[in-house]
Amino acid sequence: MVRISQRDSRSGFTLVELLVVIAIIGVLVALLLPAVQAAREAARRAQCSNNLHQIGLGAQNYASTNGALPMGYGRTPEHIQATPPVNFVKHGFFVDILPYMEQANIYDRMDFNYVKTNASPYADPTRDVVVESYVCPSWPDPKVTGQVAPGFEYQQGAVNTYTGIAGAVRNRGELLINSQFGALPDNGALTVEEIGIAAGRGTVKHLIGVERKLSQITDGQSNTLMVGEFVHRDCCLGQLIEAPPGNLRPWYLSGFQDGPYAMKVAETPPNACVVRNSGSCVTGNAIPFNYLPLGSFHPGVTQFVYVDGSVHVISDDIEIEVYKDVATANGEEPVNATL
Amino acid sequence: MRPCKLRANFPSGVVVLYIAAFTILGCNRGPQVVPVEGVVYYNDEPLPFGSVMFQPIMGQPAGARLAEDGSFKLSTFSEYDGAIVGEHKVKVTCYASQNPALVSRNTGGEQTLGPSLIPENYTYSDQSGLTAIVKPEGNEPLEFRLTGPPLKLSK
Repeated sequence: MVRISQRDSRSGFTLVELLVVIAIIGVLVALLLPAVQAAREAARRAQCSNNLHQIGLGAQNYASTNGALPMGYGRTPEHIQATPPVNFVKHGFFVDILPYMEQANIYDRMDFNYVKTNASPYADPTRDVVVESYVCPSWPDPKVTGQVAPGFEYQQGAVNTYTGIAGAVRNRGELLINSQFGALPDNGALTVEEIGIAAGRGTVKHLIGVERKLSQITDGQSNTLMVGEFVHRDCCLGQLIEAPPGNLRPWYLSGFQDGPYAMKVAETPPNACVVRNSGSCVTGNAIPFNYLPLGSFHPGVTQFVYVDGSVHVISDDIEIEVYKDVATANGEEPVNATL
Repeated sequence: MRPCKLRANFPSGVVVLYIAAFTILGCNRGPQVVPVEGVVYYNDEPLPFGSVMFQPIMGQPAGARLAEDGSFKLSTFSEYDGAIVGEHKVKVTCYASQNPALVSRNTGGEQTLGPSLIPENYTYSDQSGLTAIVKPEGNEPLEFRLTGPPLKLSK
């Protein structure tokens, strides 16, 4: 009897034992969790790099069929001369490569007739269609921007977390093509040009898209950035102060008037914390829309695909002049920044 | 990341202190930032509004709004902390929309900065010709003198 009662008292765990076990498990989980999170981010980054590779291949496929890279911004005199002028342009880099990256089904559903029929550009059947290759898995916010305030309809639709590189403003004789969203240099892998269009008695200069021939990329295709990650939201003293999607625009729109959505000029290092226009930040950054920094949610780096289709990471600590060297296609600085 | 160096043959107490310091502070203290202020003149008169941006050789640029007397106080990571030590390329912007006398309302549509009221080369860090060296031990107030056609302040 005595023995049995002793055995009874020993079966099961005491409270202290239980707490000790839970504490040990807690410590182990706390040690493991950051590692697991880091591994998950590494996987997302790899997927994100794969997206860029797809985009690079799409552009190269387009180039082998059409003899030139797709226009970064597909604005043509037709948009300008329409009555009334068509403000929003759909053709552009990310739209035109769709058929060359096995997304022809989406491209075929797009409404390009809106220029002639004067239909709303927002009424596109593909507006909310997510192209998986255009959304980096590290993008933490919804892939489709839902209802927006009146006047902001151009922000609605499936986001694009990548953008083309429109060169950099140096002091090496590059042309600057006027835009109310920040002048665009003519030295990027993707670029624009200026033409005079008859208006009344004279001609008025307008920014339109232009195809970049691979032979014009004289720094070499492996030394010239084509597309990089772009997730910019207004940022003041290290704090994001703007709600998503921030300065991202849906992929189906390639630009508004003379402001391309699918191209950015390299002016500040990737992931620089700046505000578009003036905003209310004490730093007073007057960064025009076309000059917003590229960037990513990966710690410390941003991924880019070069014209040759190779994907490399660029550190936030890249020397700004080296960054501008690789951002330009014909600057006579064949620098290979694989950092 | 900066390399951390530990000298050998320290008393064990100091080693413990070092280890404690590393675990609490870590090695990477980030770039050194020191206060910087200055004035921007345009045709020998203070530029009454606009902004300056200091782009270091690498890393986060510093910026500031211009006060009515053309003066500025840089911020990089926190309010008025200054700029990263080293060489900077400086650009000055003065766009029509930065005029505090103009009330701007965001009613949708893509916002623009409006035309530049000073020659455009000043708004590009590689074309402005303006540079500054931020010294770690402290800095005299900087002075930038810009020239160009008279400032047109539309009301």
